[in-house]
Amino acid sequence: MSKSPLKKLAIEHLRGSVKPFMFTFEKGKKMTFIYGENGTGKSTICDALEFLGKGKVGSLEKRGLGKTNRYWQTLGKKPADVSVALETASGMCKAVVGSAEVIVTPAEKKPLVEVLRRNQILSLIEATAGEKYAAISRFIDVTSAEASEAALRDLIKNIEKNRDVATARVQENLDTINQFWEEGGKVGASSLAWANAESKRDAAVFDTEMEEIGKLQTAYIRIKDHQTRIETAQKKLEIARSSEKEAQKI
Amino acid sequence: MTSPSHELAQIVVERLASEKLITSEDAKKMVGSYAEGKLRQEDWRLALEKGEDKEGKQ
Repeated sequence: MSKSPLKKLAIEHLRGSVKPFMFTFEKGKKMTFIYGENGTGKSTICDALEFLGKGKVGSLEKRGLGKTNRYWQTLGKKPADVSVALETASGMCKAVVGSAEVIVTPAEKKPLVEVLRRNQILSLIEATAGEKYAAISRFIDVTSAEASEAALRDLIKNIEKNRDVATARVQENLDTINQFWEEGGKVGASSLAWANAESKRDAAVFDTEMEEIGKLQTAYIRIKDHQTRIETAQKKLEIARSSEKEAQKI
Repeated sequence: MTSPSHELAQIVVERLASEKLITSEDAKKMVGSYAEGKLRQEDWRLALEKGEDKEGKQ
């Protein structure tokens, strides 16, 4: 039920409520017990609260009646004659039968209602622990704890996502190492063994090797350049020699 | 009188502590925030990492 203290419940022409009926809740009590002989209206009060909060009349359901709307009103009355009004500390709200469904005004005052009927209570006797919890869980508000649990679920999702990214990165790195290993002539038993051995080498050695490679590269460029210059000089020399020969003929 | 959320939180943190997923100290500290829905991802992460760290040292 709503957390706002209940004051009064007025029922008009719903089920057994032949005459308009007003039920006053005892002030300052968090729990109300209603007891009485059969046919005195206990179920009608329960139906009225369900009508208001859930837009249905549960006592008529599962009896093979099909759609039960036509049985909601008291005998001899029309659906439009039915009304249920609840007064709480936060105000009043009223439910009437509309063309297709129960209309509650004001909608924001509609109370939270959950009903556990006799047959449901009896079925709990033989129910398993899980079934019992499923039946009564709607009466237990653990939304706050569930909010903390949602944060934990989000954390798990994020960790799983990060793990998947990390796994993909590891695979990428393994592929790269393998590629280097193959380009380097497949030294060692495996690419990882080679990479492991390489990683243990002194970084200064790498620097020296890089420096030597740099020098080699520079030297190569110079040689390459020299080769071009030699070729050009040779061509000039050949031209000069042939010119000389031509001159000697003259 | 404790709320259902508080009772649920108490049961869960005790179980987490008994499984050594979090420390007993953190279990006690977490109950209130857990029940009030104030535990954030980073709070859970810290508690679980501390639990893992302590378990690893034992």
